[in-house]
Amino acid sequence: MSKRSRKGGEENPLSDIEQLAADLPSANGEVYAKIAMTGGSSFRGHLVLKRLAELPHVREIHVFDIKAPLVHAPKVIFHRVDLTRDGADDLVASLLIKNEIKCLVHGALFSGPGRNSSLRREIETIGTFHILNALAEAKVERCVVLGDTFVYGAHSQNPNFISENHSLRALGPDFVRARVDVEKQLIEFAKDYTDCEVCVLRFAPILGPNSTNVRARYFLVGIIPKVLGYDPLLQFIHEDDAAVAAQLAIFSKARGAFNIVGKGVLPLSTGIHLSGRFPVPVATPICKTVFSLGFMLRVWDLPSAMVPFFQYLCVADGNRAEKVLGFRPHYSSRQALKALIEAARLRSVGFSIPSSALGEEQPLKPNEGFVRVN
Amino acid sequence: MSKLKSQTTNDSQTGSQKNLKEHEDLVSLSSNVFKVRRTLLDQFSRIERDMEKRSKMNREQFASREELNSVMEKLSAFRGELDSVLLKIEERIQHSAESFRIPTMEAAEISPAGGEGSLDEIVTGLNPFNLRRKYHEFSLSMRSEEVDAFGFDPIFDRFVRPVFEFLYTKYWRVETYGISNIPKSGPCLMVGNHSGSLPYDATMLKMAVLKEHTAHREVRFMVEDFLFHFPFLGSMMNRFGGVRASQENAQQLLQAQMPVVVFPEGVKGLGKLYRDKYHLARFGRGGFIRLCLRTGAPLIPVAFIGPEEIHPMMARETFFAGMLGIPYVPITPTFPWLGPAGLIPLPSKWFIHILPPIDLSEYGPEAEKDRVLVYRLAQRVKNQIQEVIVEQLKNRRSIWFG
Repeated sequence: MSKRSRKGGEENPLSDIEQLAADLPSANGEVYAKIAMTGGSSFRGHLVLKRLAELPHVREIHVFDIKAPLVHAPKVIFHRVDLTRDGADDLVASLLIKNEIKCLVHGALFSGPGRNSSLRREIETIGTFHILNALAEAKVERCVVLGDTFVYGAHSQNPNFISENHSLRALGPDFVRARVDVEKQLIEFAKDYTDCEVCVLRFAPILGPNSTNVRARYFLVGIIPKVLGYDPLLQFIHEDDAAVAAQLAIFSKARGAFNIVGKGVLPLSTGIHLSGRFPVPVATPICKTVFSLGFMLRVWDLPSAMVPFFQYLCVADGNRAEKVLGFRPHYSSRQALKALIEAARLRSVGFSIPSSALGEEQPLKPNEGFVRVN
Repeated sequence: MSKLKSQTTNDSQTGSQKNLKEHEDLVSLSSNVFKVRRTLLDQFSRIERDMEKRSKMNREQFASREELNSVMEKLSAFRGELDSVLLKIEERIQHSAESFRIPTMEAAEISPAGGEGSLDEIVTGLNPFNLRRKYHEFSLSMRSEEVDAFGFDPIFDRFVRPVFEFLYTKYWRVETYGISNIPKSGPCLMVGNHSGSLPYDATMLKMAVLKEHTAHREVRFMVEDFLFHFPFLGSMMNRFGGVRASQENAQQLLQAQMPVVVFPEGVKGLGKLYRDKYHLARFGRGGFIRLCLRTGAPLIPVAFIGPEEIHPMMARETFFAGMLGIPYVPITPTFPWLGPAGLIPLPSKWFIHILPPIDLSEYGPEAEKDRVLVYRLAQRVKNQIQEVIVEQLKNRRSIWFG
């Protein structure tokens, strides 16, 4: 699958600047000493924050969030900001101007549907609106958004590999529609304020030893619901790869949208068999009812809005990120899932495996990989 | 056990409390380490067995042999390291035990015995109550853990191949002509006439290329939307080489240097009535010509004789079909009347004629914008297939015996 096609579409202006970006090597981006970040306490934000805090040339990281991040480093400066409040844009802008920050990572986006959907919608759409206002006011040069591939939605008409040019349709479940709204705001902003380089990363579901998002919990609960007779292909990305991709994107000059996905795909049923949990197939007509019943009774964390994702394909094409950002995933989708499952198994024995123990950059010695919990 | 031991040591030896405590700590640590070692070794031996099996059968198409070897090496290195650490701990336990003058019973008990592990394995293997584990193991044995980018699963394909082999050689007695027209490498687009309610014709062409072509190539076929999203059927077809029919998918497959089968007639061809048999329906809007022009792949027309008779469709029922969300329910002499047994296809005699490839690269990729040319080329391909079918039907004496 070395060569994959890309539709030459003109619908999405975020990816129009591909040619321009392709000429610039990713290493030529400006090295920002001060970086601002929203959503630093989320899992994905935590990954990126940890990565940035390790870099020697980054001197200050300002985190805007309602909850303090878990990364304890002198570089990390926490500002308590509620992005849904009126006046959040002024507050963020004043902080950006005061600290002379030229790069912002917008990570205050959810990795899937949750229990509180109105809060999620509010934070995603209104939060992005406030952040974009602040960007415009503070004349920030670079904005990297940590999005998800589920914006494409799981439709029966999806091609096997969705490219970045694929038109976003505000159809289907609420969490997809809210995210499409966010992306439309970003497209508009990128059109109006050309001085700001807007870069949207669309991550496949992030799995790994430490991940706790909806997809990770799906494979770890005792009973796994699935749709009877449907076995779509799934795609994941390992958490280490996700952090590497975010770092590459922050310190590059690339604009537009990028799919950040792991190597390869695997069928849903294979994932369930690997996890060793008990699958419960549900027939299509009663699917929504059963899914929302289990959600209501807290058997699982999947609302009925997730049903199409267990029926149809939502697999993205990661070729553009490889070409422009130079990002090459180190783990395959199956390895990401296996890392999650193996870590859960080890944790049940009383041990925990750090995410880099499978090792790519600084391989640990085998006996260093296991760290005692409790 | 350790408590009892400590009592005996207290009786026998009135040594310093500090040493005793250290010993106890050591014993508990070692038991913990052995517990973890056991789980890890279980995992490793499973992985190793799996890898050995794979490299022996050479089934793994996604990892090279060097990768497998490197993983095996790493595993064995880790195992050696673990063993050396454990040996050290064991020595220390023995040492401390000797200093307390107690028999090294515990150390002997803990020391890894090869027989114990295999016995354990036999016991878990015979246990009829861990059904869940057996179910997962059985299901995983029928599939590869990772499929290729379009959902093709080589192990599952091998699993279902005998069925199609039976259909190919015994049931429909397929005769294939002109198999050498398919190139040994590189992409090609095979265009055929569609019929028979389910894409049996595509699977038979796949079997023909797999069995009779010198390169034994894997063919991908395009499946109509309503069949691809049909429960069970769609995902099963996806595992042995079916891909949802769309321009993007076909283009990606051709650019990945694969032979692709398309049926431009689509649902109209599948749902052909018996009285219209062998009359080709409209050939779409010439999308397959545009694909060939864009990718430069050669176009190979294919004529199928025989699949039109496997499900002689008298009428199409659309009222109940609409409720089920499918385009039509076929009414054949057997289907609704005999129940599921009516879905068994009839044993007609098949011929597959693969015609010489048409090279469209002389027009260049710009020509795909030329609507007139595209339509004319599509008509030409359709007429060519139709002519071959008419000629072959003249020579055919019987539906069942050719």
